Amino acid sequence: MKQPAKRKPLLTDLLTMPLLVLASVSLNVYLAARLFRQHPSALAQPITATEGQSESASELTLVPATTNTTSDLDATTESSFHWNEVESTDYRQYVANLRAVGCPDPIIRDIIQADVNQLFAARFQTIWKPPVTAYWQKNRNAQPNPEQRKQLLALDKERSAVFQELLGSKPSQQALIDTLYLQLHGSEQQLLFLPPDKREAALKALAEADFETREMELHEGGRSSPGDEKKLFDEKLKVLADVLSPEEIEEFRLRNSQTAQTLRMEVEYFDCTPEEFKTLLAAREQKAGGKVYTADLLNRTAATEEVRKLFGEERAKEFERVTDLLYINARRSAEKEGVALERIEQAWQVTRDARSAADLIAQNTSLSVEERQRQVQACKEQAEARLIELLGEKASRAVRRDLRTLLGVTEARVRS
Amino acid sequence: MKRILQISLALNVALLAIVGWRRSRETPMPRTPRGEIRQASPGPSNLPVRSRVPRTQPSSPWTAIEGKDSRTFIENLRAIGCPEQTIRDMVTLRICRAYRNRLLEANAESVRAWDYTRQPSRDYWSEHNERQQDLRDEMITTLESLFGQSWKSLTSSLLGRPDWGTDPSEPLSVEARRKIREVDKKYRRESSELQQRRWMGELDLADMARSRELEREKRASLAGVLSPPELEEYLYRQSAAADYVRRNLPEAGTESEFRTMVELALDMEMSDPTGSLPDRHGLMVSDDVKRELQQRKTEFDQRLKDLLGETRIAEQTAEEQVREEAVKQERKARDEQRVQQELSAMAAEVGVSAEDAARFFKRIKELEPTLNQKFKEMEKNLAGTPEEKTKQLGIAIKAEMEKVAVEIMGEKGRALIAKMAKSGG
Repeated sequence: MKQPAKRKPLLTDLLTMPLLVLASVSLNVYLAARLFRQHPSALAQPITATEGQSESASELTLVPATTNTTSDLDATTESSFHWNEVESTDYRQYVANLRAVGCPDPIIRDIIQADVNQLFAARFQTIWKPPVTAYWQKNRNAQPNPEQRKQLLALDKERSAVFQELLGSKPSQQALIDTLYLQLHGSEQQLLFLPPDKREAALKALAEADFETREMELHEGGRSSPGDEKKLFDEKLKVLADVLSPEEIEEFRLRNSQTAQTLRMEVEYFDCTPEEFKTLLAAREQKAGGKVYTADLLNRTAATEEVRKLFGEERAKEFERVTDLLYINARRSAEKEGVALERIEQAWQVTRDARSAADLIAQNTSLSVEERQRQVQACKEQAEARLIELLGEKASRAVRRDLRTLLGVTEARVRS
Repeated sequence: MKRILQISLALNVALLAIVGWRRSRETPMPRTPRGEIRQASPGPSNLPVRSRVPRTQPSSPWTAIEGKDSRTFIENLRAIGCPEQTIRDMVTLRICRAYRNRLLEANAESVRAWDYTRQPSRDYWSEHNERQQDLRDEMITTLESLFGQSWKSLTSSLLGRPDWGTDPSEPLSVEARRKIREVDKKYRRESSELQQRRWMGELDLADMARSRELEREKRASLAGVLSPPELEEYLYRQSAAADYVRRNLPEAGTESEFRTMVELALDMEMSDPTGSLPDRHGLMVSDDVKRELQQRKTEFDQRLKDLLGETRIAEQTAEEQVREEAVKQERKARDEQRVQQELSAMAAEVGVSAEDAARFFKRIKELEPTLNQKFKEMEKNLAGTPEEKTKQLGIAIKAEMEKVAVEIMGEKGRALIAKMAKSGG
């Protein structure tokens, strides 16, 4: 029996196998990508917050939130859908329908955020409802109790999960409040010095690290300590280091760190150059050794010594005078009243002399307690009279208050 | 090659199965469609809308309803039957965001110009606040004129916070509210400067007189733009005199009683800067200011007594005390609950059960009066500097707490107290 001749593989056969393999592997890649996609949101792509924020121009005209609009007005399009076609009893379908009619992502985001907020409103209110007062009643500063707070937080998390599921990210409720109330604060305010793209990137990094919640928790009930604040600020710097250049991080620190803010208050009248400011800040931070730096504006000895080492004798002398709390307060009020600088300097000298004299009296144990008290009191009265003479009643008010407090402490020391 | 194909096909089947299974598990997310889906506006069924899309750009049904200005956008949305609530949400957010971008831009400019080696001046902050308030006013006017309802009600609905929607000027028309904002703007800067001086304890008699004068001028300006009933409503709801009554006097029993009280405050030109001391410690208010404030308050209180009757004033005071006590108790209970929760969390970290933590808390509460007395006595007999005394007292308190903790939860009690001490508790 003649065996059928072995058919020679045709060219098509040779090509079919690799093509089949290729097709099959491609399908595998597609299916795997689908499976491992991070956010299986209802949208083809997650709607990013940046998209939402970048829409709407800053110009006076309110530019629609779509990327494919220009100022051309020469085309006429028929609107060929009714809202009924978009509405759905399922959020995923609703989002899909909106996408299908070409609704831009930022608008979908807005619609969904408002819709879901309204959906959850009733549930929030069943947990805790603040009392509503009439215009003629006093404001009631009511707050949920810890248990209600816990439930509210849980519900908020549930709402966030819905957003995550639908939009691929969680829109911030605080950001929504800030938009509607036209307010700027926190990290957004701190990052304003950056160009918009860098600012967006930094805010995104902070949002991913959940800084908003952490800052909110820290400030809740006004119980945060300066140490807690510093710790969070240092962590913020670490997060920002991934998106900002070292120079930008440095500027962020110079503008926003607690130590920089304290230093600014301290050197209000020191007239320091940016280089001097940076040097002083570095010295302060080093001295604080990772803790919170606090300035002692009444005892300038240590701070002045440091400035002497850094900038020399002449600058140190000026520093000692103009960074004294009593000098700062006297000058602040006196400048507003147009008092000459020379008189302000004299007034400060009066306070300095009064403090030294009172200290000497307090330490003079050869005098009776009553006598020392009487002399401190007399010293205070004399100094106050001289301050009024130099600065006037109004401009001397703050510095007299400070002096009174300080000499009051000296008097108390005499008594004890 | 054949082998590879077989493996790949098997993988195809497996992956398809998993994808299918996941799809079937994807639960729907139920949504209640907006109550009223509008009927499309009468007129052309397929409304031709001028789109801002150039011919070269791909068009979509949505681009047809976009409009350069908000009114057109709203009209187009109405024409396709979009529910009013959805229109309000979309447009409100779009407008607010546009204004916020303007604020961002302006503030970014001033922040960049700021020399960070200097404290920002008071003028810097005044300008900053002024700019923000001006933009907010403009935004509110835009929104209210588009929708004919208050900005507060629009925003509270968007946030899902209906309780945030109370605006004392709600009964006034959109137009009246706009006029009030314009008049406010004229006096805002000087008023806030005076307020600032008050908070800093810098207010003098001339400032107080100026403050009263400003209120008179403002009232005259409002009388020029509002109708008499509108002005009356404004005065009862938003004037400095109404604020004075709400903040400084016991709560009125009824709306009509409140109005009587406000009428007197208006008549006597009472306001926060001219009728009450700043509620802050350590501020040095000059004696003449104190005297004047006291004198004005005494006169006002006397006339109020004449007006409402001594009995009613006594009732009001008693009611206020009850209210304040209730607030105090509520706050105390809330604080206790918070402390208990924190204690519970710390206890869990050192392996102490929630029940033991609760027992410890209860025991400390029971002992509180005795312990307080004991520590007070101890404090009197301590020697050394104030810092040393504080330290000694701290050690004594810790030892006492530790004793109770060990009694209740054994040796773990020490760890809990150490943890509490570390966290500053």
